[in-house]
Amino acid sequence: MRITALAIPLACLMLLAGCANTAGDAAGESSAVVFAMDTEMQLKAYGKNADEAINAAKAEINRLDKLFRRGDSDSEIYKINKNGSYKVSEDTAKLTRCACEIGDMTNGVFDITIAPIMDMWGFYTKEFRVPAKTEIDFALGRVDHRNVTVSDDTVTVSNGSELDLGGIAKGYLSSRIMEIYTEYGISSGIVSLGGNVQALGTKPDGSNWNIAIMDPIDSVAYIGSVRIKDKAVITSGGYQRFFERDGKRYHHIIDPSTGYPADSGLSSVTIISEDGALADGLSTSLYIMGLDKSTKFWYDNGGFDAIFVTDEGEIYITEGLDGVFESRKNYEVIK
Amino acid sequence: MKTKKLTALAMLTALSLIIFIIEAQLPPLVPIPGIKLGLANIVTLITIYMYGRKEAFCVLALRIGLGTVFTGHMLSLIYSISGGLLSYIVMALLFKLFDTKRLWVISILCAIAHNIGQITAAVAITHVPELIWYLPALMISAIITGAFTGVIAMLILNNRNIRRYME
Amino acid sequence: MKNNIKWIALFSVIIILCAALLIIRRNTPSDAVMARIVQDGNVIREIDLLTVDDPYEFSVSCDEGCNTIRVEKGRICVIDADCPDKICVNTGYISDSELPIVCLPHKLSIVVSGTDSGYDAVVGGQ
Repeated sequence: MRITALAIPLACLMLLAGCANTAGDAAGESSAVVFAMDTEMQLKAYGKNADEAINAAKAEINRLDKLFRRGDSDSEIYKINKNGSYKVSEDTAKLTRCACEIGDMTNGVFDITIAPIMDMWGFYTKEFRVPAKTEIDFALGRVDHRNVTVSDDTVTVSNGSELDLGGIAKGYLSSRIMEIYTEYGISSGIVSLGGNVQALGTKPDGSNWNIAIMDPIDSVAYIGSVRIKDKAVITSGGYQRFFERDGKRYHHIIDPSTGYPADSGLSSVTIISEDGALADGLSTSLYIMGLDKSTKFWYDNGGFDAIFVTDEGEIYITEGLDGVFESRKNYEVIK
Repeated sequence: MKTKKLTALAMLTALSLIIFIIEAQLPPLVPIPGIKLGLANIVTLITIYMYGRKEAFCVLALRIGLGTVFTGHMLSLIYSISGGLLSYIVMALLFKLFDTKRLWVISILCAIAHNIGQITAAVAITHVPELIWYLPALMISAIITGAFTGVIAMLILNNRNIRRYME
Repeated sequence: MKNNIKWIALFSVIIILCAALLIIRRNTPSDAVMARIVQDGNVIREIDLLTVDDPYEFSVSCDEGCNTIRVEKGRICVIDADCPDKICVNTGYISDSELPIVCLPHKLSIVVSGTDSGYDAVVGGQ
């Protein structure tokens, strides 16, 4: 009797150990990898209509990609820049309006007319060069987000400015995909648009999504992770897209006040917010602002959380992430 | 507590501590964490059979506490406590049901409990659930080492000369 | 005596079961290629072992000490450590999910698993 009493729990234990490795396939799971907006996009949805939702999301990615592609003569952005004013789709109007708001909010640190300067540095053609100071100063004259106005469904650019929504389009896209997931009755899904992550609900097992944040100093390591639900997590940093000339590194985040790559003492900024477009715009802006101004900006505006990594590798997180951010590194909480 | 008993318990504690420290100096037999003979458990087993639960607990607790001081790792204290405690619970619950002839069974069950306790602590500390895969190997080792230490404890307890000296 | 035989039988069965489990696991082909280095419960590094063309080494340190890890194509090991038992070093190379390398004194473990990294996504500055 005693033997069986002992044998049963032991047998159970072994069965448990044996099962631990076989991952159960959730009912209705679909995923896809799409290449658009110059990056690899990974989509995943769980639920009964997962396949349909993923197909609809893929279609939406292609639609918005065409809409926002500045260099493509069929895109709305191209037409706005060419004609100075153009009657656009709801998406373009909405996103442009949002971008202008972030521009106002950040006092022009986020600027959707920065594209000509980016071109000058060669970040679109990948033919990199360091432009002359006079060249930059001249081009800066046409960089001002206030030259873009939206009234109803017409976007107007004035004073020779050129509009580009590239700095915010991915964030908008990830939010749009969340809406599509919801329309299809998906309660659990995630997208990763070239490092911009947004999640709908929780994981199918009810736990929060665990999002790792790359270490800007050592790109195969992580500084830590955040456990989130219904949030976008978006990082900006100059450590992945850059070129080197004469021993100096030039990255792709251009400060609209100088025309040069931002040098604010930060190596990466991660924004966590429900609004993908806002998170996308702010991660760039706060990266340009630097830690002190960003802290003040967070005090004044709120509505998002942030993780800052300085050039020295020090980590600062805003109060809302205390307990959400997991890391074995030292970090300081901004309260 | 009678002086004689106190002295005997102090001797037993010292003995288990020495065994523990010497065993800790030996290089590991196999590159699997947690596998060792567990010779110090012989003393705990003898104590519980000769004196009882409370006394065995004292010897065990002192051995773990002092052992940590001498071998010097705070972290190993957590492993020792989780393994030692679970093993003690099994011992305390079951030793009345088994006479000294069946002591080797208790010893194996203790060793199994000890290893389960340690692997649980290891998973909790490292947060790596895959460590559970060490369990089958640890079970096999527990049965072998548990039988070994159990037989030694039996031999000692059943040796009239040693017993007379202890009592 | 009869009782003894019962117990011996039980323990033998357990040993056989455990050995079988170990053998089955060792012989189960796995497509595991992601090495996760976990320290104190946090994944500090993930390496796709198939993409390692040139072997390299790096160190992971903690308050208690330091482990030097060597990565080669398809396999990973701890080549040096200042922990007391050196079990992590003696474990040698691991290449699939058989058993993780673990250094209990340093709360460090290296697990090779499939593409499942424990993280649902990674964000980086693009």
